[in-house]
Order: sequence, then structure tokens, then C-alpha cells
Amino acid sequence: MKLLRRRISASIFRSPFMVLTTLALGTLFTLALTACGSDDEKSPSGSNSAAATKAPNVTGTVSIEGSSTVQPYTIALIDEFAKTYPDVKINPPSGKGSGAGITAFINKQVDIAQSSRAMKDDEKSQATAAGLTPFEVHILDDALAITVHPDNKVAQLTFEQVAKIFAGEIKDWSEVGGSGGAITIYTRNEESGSFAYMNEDVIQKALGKDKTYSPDINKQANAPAGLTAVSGDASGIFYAGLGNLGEIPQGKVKVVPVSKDASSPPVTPSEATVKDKSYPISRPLFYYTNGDPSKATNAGLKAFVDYALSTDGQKLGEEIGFVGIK
Amino acid sequence: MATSQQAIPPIGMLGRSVMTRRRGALLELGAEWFIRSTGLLTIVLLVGILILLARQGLRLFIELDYPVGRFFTYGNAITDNTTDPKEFKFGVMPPLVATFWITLMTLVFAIPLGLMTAAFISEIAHPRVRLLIKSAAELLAGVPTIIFAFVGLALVVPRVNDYFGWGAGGLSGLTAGFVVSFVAVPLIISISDDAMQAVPVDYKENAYALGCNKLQAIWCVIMPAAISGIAAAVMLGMARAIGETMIVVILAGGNSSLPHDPTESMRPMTATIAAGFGNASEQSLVRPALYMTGAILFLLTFATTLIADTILERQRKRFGR
Repeated sequence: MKLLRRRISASIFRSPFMVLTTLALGTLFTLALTACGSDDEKSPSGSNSAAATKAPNVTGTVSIEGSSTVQPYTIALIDEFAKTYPDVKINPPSGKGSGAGITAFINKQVDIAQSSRAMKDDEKSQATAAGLTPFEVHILDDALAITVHPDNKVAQLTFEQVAKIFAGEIKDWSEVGGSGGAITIYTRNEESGSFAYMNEDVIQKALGKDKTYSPDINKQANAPAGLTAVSGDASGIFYAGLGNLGEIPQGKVKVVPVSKDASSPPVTPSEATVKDKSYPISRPLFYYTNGDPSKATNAGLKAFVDYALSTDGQKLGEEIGFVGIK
Repeated sequence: MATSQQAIPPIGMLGRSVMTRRRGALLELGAEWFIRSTGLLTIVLLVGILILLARQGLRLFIELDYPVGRFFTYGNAITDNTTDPKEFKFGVMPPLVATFWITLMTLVFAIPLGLMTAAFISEIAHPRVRLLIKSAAELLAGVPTIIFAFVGLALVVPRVNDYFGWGAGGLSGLTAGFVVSFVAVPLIISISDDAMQAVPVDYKENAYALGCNKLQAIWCVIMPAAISGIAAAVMLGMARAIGETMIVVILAGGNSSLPHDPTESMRPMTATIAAGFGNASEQSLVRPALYMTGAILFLLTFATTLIADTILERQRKRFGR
């Protein structure tokens, strides 16, 4: 009994030592291996630096959160970025909404807030109070497409009609030449930049500062949820970014052309009509960083924002359906 | 200790055995306290959550000057990120009423379904069938609720829209309540089955001896005898419905204003918290408002569960099992 106990205790005392030894040996071995590995990688890129496609000496960690409109772009950008900058660790956003991203930025949880609307004054003062200097980087342009059920007969809407529909002043499709009876309004929820953009830059711009959304709006958690809802509701209306339209099969929803006013021709949202500013509900997309990213100490952050603004980054945005700013 | 001394072992061994025993007793004491503290931890956690929710939530009225009356009466619950109490349009009543409607709808569907199934498996079905149904119900209880939400979106929402035209294209409190009822049903089946099984066999024998048929025996004797257990089952199902989040985020419709009847689109408390939390920066009014909503939600589920437990305890005492 005694012997057994002693033996057990001895082995207990011995085993951590054994473990430590093994660990130390293992670490050394791994270090040696990785050292060899990185040597192998460095030598070719060092030899032909003119045609270098990789920049392994740029390191850093970049966390992003925010707009679900910008989401498909950022995700694609991260994939491409990682090919050139393999040593920058990026924590991808979950696309909860511009408000959510800006809040995470104010709470210092992320380095970049992706947003489909400009930061509000209230948010700016919150950021300043938290010791941050929000810096706005205009990355792409986007249009907010007005979508309805494919069977809806509505042919076009004016900017003001769109505002009135979402404000609840136009209540029936028959008032604007559509079908489906009483209008069911679907919106994003309060975390969304599109939600705030529609309120401030469409409803309040067209109808006055004291106006806001109708109280009877159905707030959906994300753009696909809203598109799905409209695809199943003959009386529905919803808005979504150009990049989000690809998230539902074609023909499931109808995009309604919008005109600036009653005397202008209706315009379908597209790259061309956003670029020449003929589509009235277009908006800039932003990355917000703490201070000018080109002067950032985080080399990864600087490289990432530079990459978004580069020809490659802009081209990527256009492939998804957004409009480049250059 | 006393018995070891009576046995009078050789002197040398005596000392050692006392020592090991003392060490054993110490170890036991330590283990006992460890286990006791893990038990206490649940209570500490419970009280801690409530204190945290209340402390964070009460800031809304004390530090941030949001009127208490407005918080309880305002007819919409908009979770905008703002620091201006005049701009903040948040009242807890619409989410509270939405939670009430959805819970009511859940119970309307879940009580008959759950109780009938429980009566069937407890009193009518062959033991093998009983086992099969009971394990199926338990498996159903383990299905993640997001799966229920997707099934509801694919199967229930289009039908509610086509046949009744309720809510926003079929998204309504009733739709959500109907789907949540399938989450509550397994709970109700399991606990009310236990309650009916606990009814002493002489009750049943007497009922049959008096000429009752099965339905009469179940309806007039067994169910009344098991009523407290059944009530507890319903209460626990209710607590489950109040706390359900994923299904209501997707299926309830998301209208944040006051719902007047269950067929409207609505946004209950859990969905409001889920939708608004992204906006809840440290300085904003949303954060304490959502904590306050959470505190009310917590108290609601706490009270329901507490009542259920008290009723269950009474049932246990009654039949002495």
C-alpha cells in the first residue's frame, strides 16, 4: 500500500518534468522547422523583389465589424489580401450592421468599422469621449435598390414616393400604380446602416426633419431575410444594397426604377447610373479607422486600407456589384 | 474513530491508521465544502445576474435621465444608438406585450398537444410505444431552435400568408408562437407524463372498478390527481416560450410598435435585445434600456419557473414520492 502510494507520488512528480522536457524539445524542434521554412520562403522573394507578389514582412492584426451591405466586399477583399499579405491576421466581420460596427469601434473592439452610412454626430462625440479620432475612408459607392414582389405591377416610383411609402404616408399600392393592396413595409433593424440611411437621407430629405419611418415597419435581422420576405409577400417593399441583390436568386424579387422627381425619367440602379449620379438613392460606403490609416502604427491596417483603395481592391468591389470611386 | 480504538491493533499501526483516517476526514471535509460551494455557485450566479442587470439597467433612469414613465408606456421600442434622452424612443411595453402574445399562442397550441400526448403515453400506449414516443420527444427537445425557425420559415410562414394573410407576409406573433410550441411540447409531455405516472395505482383501479372507461378515468381521475404536476409542466413550457429567441427573431415579423392582437407582426423582448445589442455602445441609452428589458425578462422567467417548482414540490409531497 505504502509502496504503491510512494510509487504513484513519484510518478506524479516525475511526469510533469517529463512533460516539460518533451514540450521543450518539441518547441525547439518546431522552431527549427519553422525557421527553415521561413528561410525557404524568404530567399526567392528576396532574390526577385521587383516582381514580388508577397509581402511577408508586413504583420499585424486587423479586426473589422459592421455593415452587412459592405460585408460581401470585405470578405472577398480579405481573401485576396491574404494572398499578398499572408502574415497579416484579419478577424473578419460578421456583418451585423453599420451601427453595430460603429459601436464596436467606439467600444474599441475593432480597428475598422465598415459602414454604409456616415457616422452620426452623436456617435462621433461618443468616439471622441472614448479617446478615438474617427477617420473616414470612402471606399466604394452603392445604390439602395427598392425591391418588391415580382408580381407587383408598379412600374416606377419617384424619390418622394419612396420616402412617403417608408414613412407610412402612402399606404396602398393603388396610389402609386402598383398591385397587392395595403403596403407591407420591410426594413432592416436599427443596427443597419441602410435603416439609418433611408431614414435620414431619403425620408427626412424628401419630407422634412420631423418625419421618420412609419411605426408599422417589419424589421428584419439582415438583407437576405428582408429579400426573402418580399419574395413571398405580394404587398411587400424592401430596400437592399446592390451587393446584396446577389444573395437571392434572380427573378425572386423585382427592382423598381426610381426617378428624382415627377419630371425626371425613372432610373434602374446599376454601376453606370450610380457613377453618373442619375440614380437618386445612391450612397457612399466607408471604412472608419482610428486616425489616418496611412499613418497607422499597425502596418497590417495600413496595408489593408491601401489594398481596398488600390486598383485590385476597387475592381473586386465592382465584381460584387458596387461602384468604384476612382 | 471510536471503533478503530476498540479493536486495539498493534501500537505502530494504530498511529498510522489514525493519521490516514484524519487525513481522509480532512479530505472528505474539503470535498464536502467544494461540492457545497458548487451548489452555492448557482445561487450566487442567479443573484449576480439579477444585480448586474439591475445595476446596468437602473443607470437609464438615475444617470442618464430617461423618464421612467416613458420607459414603461412609450408605444414603440426603437433601439437607435443615441445619448440624447429626447431622441431615444424606447418603451418596454411593446416588447412585453409581444412576449405575452407569443407565449399565449405557444400555450394555446402546446397545452392540448402536450397533454394529449402525455395522457396517451402514460395511460393508453404499450410500454414500448411509450418509450419510443418519450425518447422521440426528448430528441425533439434537443433540436437547435434555429432549425425550428428554418422549418417554420419554409413550411408555416407561406401557409399563414396564403390562407389567412396574417402579419407581414405570414410573419406574425401567432406564427412564431405556433413554432415555439413545438419546443415547449416535449417539456410538457415529459413532466406531465411523470406526474400521471406518479398517481397511485389504486386511484386508477378504483376508477375502473366504478365502471369508468379510459377517457373517463383519464379526464375525471388521473388528470385531476396529477393537476399540480401538469400545471408545473405548463409553467415550465411557458418559461421556455418567454425565453425563446432565435425563432421569434426570424418568425415574429419584427414590428417594434405595440401589437394589438397575436396575428400582427411584432418584436418580443428577446428579439428586441438581440436586434439592439449591436448598437449598445458604452455611453448610449440603448445599453441600459436593453439591460432593463433583460432584467424584466429575467424576473418573468424566474417567477414562472419558481411557481412551477413550488407546484411540483407540492405534488411530490402529496403522493409521497
